[in-house]
Amino acid sequence: MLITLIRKEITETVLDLRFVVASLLFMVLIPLSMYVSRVDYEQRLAGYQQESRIWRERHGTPEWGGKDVEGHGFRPPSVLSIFALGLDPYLPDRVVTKFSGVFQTMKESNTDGTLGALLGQMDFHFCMIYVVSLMALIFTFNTVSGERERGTLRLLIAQAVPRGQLLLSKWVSKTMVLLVSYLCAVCMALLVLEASPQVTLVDSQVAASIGMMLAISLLLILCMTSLGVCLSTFARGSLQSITLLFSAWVILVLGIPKITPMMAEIIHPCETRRVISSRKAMLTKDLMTEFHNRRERLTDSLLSKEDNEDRASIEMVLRSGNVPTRYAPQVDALWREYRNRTPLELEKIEEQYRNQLQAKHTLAMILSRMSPLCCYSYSITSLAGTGVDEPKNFMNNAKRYQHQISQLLYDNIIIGSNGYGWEKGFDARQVPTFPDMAYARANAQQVMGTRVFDVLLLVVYTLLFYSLAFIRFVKYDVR
Amino acid sequence: MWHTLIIREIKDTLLNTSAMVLVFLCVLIIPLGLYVNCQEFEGRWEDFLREHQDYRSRYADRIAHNVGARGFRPPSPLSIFCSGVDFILPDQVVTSRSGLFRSTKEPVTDSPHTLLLGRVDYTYSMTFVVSLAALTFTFGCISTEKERGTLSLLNAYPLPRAVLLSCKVIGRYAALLVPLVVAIVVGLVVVDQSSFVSLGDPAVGLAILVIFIVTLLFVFCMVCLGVCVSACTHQSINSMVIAFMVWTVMILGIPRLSPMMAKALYPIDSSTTLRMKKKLAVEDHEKAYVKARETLMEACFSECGAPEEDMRRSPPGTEEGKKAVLLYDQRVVPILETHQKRMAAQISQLEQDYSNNKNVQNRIALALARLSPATSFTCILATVCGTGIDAPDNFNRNAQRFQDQVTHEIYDQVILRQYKGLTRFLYAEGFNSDNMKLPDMTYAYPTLTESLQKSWLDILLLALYTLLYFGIALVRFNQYDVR
Repeated sequence: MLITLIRKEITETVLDLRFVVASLLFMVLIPLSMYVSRVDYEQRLAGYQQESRIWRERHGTPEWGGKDVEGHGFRPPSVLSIFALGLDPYLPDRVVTKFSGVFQTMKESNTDGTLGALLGQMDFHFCMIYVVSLMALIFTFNTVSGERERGTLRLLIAQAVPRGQLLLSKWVSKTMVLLVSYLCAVCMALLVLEASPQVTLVDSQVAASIGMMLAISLLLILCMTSLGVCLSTFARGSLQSITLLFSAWVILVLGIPKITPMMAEIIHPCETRRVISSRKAMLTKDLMTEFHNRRERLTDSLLSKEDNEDRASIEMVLRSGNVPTRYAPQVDALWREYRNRTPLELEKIEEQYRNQLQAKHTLAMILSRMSPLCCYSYSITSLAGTGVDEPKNFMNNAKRYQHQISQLLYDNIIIGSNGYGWEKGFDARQVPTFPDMAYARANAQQVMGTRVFDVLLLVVYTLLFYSLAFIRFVKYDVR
Repeated sequence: MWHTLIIREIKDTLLNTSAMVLVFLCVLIIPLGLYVNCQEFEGRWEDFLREHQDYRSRYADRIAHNVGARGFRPPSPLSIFCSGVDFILPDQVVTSRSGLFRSTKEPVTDSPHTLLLGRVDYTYSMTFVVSLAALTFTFGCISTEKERGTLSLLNAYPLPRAVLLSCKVIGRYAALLVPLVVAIVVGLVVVDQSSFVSLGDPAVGLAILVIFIVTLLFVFCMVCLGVCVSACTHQSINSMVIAFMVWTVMILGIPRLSPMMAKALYPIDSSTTLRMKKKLAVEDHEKAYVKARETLMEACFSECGAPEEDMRRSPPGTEEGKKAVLLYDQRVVPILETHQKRMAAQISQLEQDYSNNKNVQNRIALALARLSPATSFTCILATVCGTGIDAPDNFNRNAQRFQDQVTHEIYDQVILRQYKGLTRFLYAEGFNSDNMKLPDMTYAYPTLTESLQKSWLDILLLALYTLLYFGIALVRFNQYDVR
């Protein structure tokens, strides 16, 4: 019986104008957005390769082993950002390591895509959030209310079929028809992607991530169709359903996701990164000034203990800005003290800032998860390596790179009798070139470990909407 | 008769549940969006002031001759209405002695959720929420009457069909304006509470008036589109499906795909590549100049018979050395000027090429994107708010002005003369380092007149689209056969 009902519903849905419109939109927008995102990725990749190559050619080998030598680590674009651009345009492009231990993250002010920035960009993630979710609701908004309006629902319910089966058949058939056109569009999009010389879908990591993205996308479609059916059971006629559809979509897609993070920012105001960076830069300068003052006082006190004969020659060395050899151990000890203290003091500022941010992020997460679309966005962008955790991941990579360069180079720099110099036994020729920054991203399994809650929430929303629809449908009075 | 028909349409629309929902959504989203943007603007403004003050308190009176002076860009108060490209604009400009300023932007990832999920501002609310509401209000205005059979009765009245259609359009539009105007007024009251934005300021007040008028035009355009869809279909459900499809294509598809299509159709070097090329050019010229300078110095020393050690002494130990330095000082000026001219020419050529290519790409993108009235609306609002596609060029103009100011007030006061391993500063006549103050960057946003001059095409297009949709609706309505 269930199969017969599903077949009937499928036939009705396929013959409807909505199927043609949805198929048309999916077939045009999804592959087209994949194509333009692919071209955009190829350009970003070429830019990254060119920039890192030129830097390596020009500055990859330190010319002089002084403290001003900087290592540049470049962030490669994530191949999966083709699916969800997410935070990629806002993430720093590179990290510049510093002798002080405080690396600098840099984002070149990129103003070539001004029109894209003004009007927004379209990728697979955007298509899912806006186009597919809207189509899922349009497909299902009058599943029950339409029949109620026409009066056919009474006849249907009068049949010896459980109401649960009736509702299930309606939901399954609408979802299946929508999925067919959606999957056709996705296959076309994947073919577009496969045509790129820069992208290999056979790579196990990429394939696993894409597989998971598609699975979560299917879950979103189930969730939205069950919401559509749910709205349909609450309305008495098609027009009322449309109003409900419009309101639900605006609130879930345009309202909650965009307003809740801004509300969290107002509830938990934090200082911006600009202020923190400026505070860190000032602290570094203050500490260096303090070091120089203390060094001066130290040399003065040492000088006062010298004989008159030695004093003149030592004063001459000091005036030229150098440290006399006999004072080198004390100055060196002072230097080591500051070299260790600076990162600790800076870490304190960073820690306070991280705590402030964490509170704000947690609140934004909790509030935004009231919409299933946000759960979907968090999961998909995390899989694409462009999610809300990516800034943290970038910082971890940057820290690792700074540590790597420090071990190779900076830790071997000391303040000697003639300014900055190398530690004893260190051969600067051992560091012929700066190493590349090995940028690590979480793999699909790790991402799913952190995003399992969002996926579960999507399942819960689907069940909730369906259960609500079921209760309303069962409570429907035929009289 | 007009009056009666319009009143009937307004009543029909406002007594519908959808009107109540729309009132609720508009009154909720528009003022809330303005409120959160206002708060966010205040935060940005405070950051700007703090950063600026910190910088000035540290460096304003302690200027080094080769200082890279920093100029800070204040956020535009009108960005509350349209954040536009504000988030990609550089925050600071750093000047240099070479005359090439550097614009910097601190990576802003403090609010990843806002960046990922997007933000709601006035423009967004209008483009997405109100346009969808306009279509929801109008998609059934003719098709439902066709479906019910009441359109035949209506057409039987001795009234021109154009009047009937106009009444429908005006009635629906007036019904939509009620919640919209209420929401905008509430939003403006919220904005007025902010101590950082003054609506009484003529520049801001006039700009808001223009924004309001353009909004009315855009909403009217969307109402006409909804009526057009309704006139082209026979069933309300089909009208709804087609209206949503048109909305998806016009609001979501065309504006977002066009810039990316233009990128694919006409690929150009990115600004990162341009920056890299400029940097390489400067490095190459610097190297060539250092080589030429050192060769000249050696030639001057050998011509005067000065010992080589004098090259690294300041002042030289011998009379010949002093003579050689004087000779070098005279001869190095034309070399330096030639080097600077060549470098400036090459940089300017690179910038010009990039700018030409970018203009072509932007023209293609705009031509495609303007197929949607939403693009025109967004472009107008962003231009008026100082966050439009011209904002980066405006930033560069301000930055160049600041660079020129710093060059005139600081760099030109102290001439840098470089020798082999030595640098000497030559001070201008009457120079007093105590009088030297770091100038402030006075950032100028385009005036309203300038913005409107830039936006005339978009305003015209909005009006044309409105006429086009109304025209199509009228033709279809006239073609309707009552039999």
